[in-house]
Amino acid sequence: MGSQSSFLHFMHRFVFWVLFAMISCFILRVLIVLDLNKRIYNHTPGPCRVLTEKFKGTSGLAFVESQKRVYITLGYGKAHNLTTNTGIAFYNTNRTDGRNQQEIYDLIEMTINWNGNDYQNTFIPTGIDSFSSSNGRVLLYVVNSHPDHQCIHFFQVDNTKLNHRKSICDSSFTSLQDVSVVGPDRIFFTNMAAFGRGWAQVVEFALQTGQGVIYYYDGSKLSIAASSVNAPTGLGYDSKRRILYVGSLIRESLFAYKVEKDMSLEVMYEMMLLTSPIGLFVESKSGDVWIAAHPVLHEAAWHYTHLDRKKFIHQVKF
Amino acid sequence: MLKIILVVLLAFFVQYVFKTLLMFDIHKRTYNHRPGQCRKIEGPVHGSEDITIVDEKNLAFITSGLVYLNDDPSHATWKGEIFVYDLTSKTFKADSIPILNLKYPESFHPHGISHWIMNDGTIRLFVVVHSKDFKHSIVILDFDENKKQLNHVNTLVNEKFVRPNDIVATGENSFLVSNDGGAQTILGNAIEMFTGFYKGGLVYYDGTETKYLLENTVANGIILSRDRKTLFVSHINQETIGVFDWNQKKVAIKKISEIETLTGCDNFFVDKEDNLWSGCHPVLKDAVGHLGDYTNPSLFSQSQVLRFKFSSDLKSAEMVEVFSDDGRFTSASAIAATFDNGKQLLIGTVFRDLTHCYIDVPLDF
Repeated sequence: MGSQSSFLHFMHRFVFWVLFAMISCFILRVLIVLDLNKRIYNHTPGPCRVLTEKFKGTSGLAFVESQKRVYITLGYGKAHNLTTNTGIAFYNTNRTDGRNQQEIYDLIEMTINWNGNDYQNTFIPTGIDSFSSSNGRVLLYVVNSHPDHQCIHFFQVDNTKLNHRKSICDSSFTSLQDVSVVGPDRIFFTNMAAFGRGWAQVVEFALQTGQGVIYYYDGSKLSIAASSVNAPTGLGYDSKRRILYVGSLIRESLFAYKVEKDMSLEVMYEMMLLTSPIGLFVESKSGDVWIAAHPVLHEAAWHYTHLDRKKFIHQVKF
Repeated sequence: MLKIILVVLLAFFVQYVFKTLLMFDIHKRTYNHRPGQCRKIEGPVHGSEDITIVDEKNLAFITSGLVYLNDDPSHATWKGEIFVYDLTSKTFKADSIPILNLKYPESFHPHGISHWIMNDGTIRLFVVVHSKDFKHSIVILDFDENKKQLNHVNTLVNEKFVRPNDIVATGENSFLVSNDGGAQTILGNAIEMFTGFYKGGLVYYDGTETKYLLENTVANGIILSRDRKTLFVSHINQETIGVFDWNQKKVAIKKISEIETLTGCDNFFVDKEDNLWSGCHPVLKDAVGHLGDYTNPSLFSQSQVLRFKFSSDLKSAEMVEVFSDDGRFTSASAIAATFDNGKQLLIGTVFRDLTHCYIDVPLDF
């Protein structure tokens, strides 16, 4: 009886210390992920300018080489209750057509033909990617980040107009982030977390359990390409090498997946960036990856909850 | 009661561990970028820890061959030297200057450096010097421009030069010197770092006597503003820069502000527009690894050059990162100095070579 009670007493203490160590580690990991000891030091690669302040949020970019255009999604701030218009514009990168200095930096806003679908009022575009066919057709794939209408919209470009083709929506889409095209109407896209927003999402990120998903859509069927991914955000596809890069907001890393012939994903490596990637761009010729990131996560979190205040941004190229 | 004390001690221990991990920058890395084309300056290979630029003559003097917290004097097999670099030349080559009349030339391992222009135009150098067994002195040298040599003037030893790091000349025979700690061994220094009980400070020498201006702190790099009214002190271990009013007549400093840099800034340079430049160590754990075993060529640590543009009240500063390197090109930057109207940059390192860069990007936004 005596030895049994001392054993129980020992177990009681052992469990206490293990729990204490686990909770301490958990708290420390959360604090470290918040980048409390980091700051940004300004620098630019050359002269820079703001292209537009008309929209609250310009969160997605897609470069179409054949058109020399960068398509830009506008108004992401509306998903966080900012008052702003939303839409898609393009920036013409061709600077040799004799335009004046002002026109060179103009964004051309596109009109959207929804073809009878009632998506206009819930249209808050964010991630975007494109596909150019050999006959010059340009298709755009746009993540819609409206809290109640998480979808991927498919468009066809008609000069300065977008014609809506179709959408894929699913009840499992809770926090879609970015999309990457691997073929005509064949896309990978990320769903960052099980909870779309609010304290539930904050707790989910703090627990770092990895409830994010990478989806694959083959033109007709939707499937999960990778599950239990920790807060996947931006995507970029290197078509030459068949590598899909996926940023992880909470792990502050970049995953590289080999895209097999059956479009399944095999993890090649994880690169620790120690900054939180949000958007990716892969240069088609060199395979270099450009990453837009939130380098100080607690400041980014503050900005997301206080949208009228500015925050740090970080761009990394490797 | 015992349980409460235990819990409090535990909580203190956990927060101490956390603060120590953050102090060592465990969650940081650098991302390489340069302001323009960069290259190595031929000449210094065993360090280029501090630089003083003489604008009147377009010359930069660079200290090389640092010995620091040296537990075994026989390990210090390299020579301590002072190099001179002509800022108007495009040779990218610095020359070692012979130093005459030193009593113990084999014990000359320079650290911080400053200069003063004498009334007759002679350049006088003030140099913090450590011997192979880590004994400290301040050596005063006059530069003979015609013969390109340095003539020894005086060597000063004082009990208050506890562990001198940097120096700022304030007159023909007076200077400020910083002590970056009190321990003379690696173990002692580690204890200072981990406990936070620093025994460094700031000392003023007026030509005859020394006086403490700051005590029980870390004072690494120091420099005066161009009007000589403001003193900047690097509290490298706390990752801050102290800004002080300096009154030379009263020999007094008064704190104005403390700038949080979240990086370990080493030595300073003030450009013609009164911007403060510094070579910094952004990831302390890697800096400690490299600097603790500096003879190991496979070890290196990150470099970062920052320019600080202060507000008019000196209470805040806008920081621009001019250069950043993971250590493979420039390892453990300690000083950054600009010239040619801000178009060129020299970056000195603690134990390696000297880097030159052109600045082709705008630094004001």
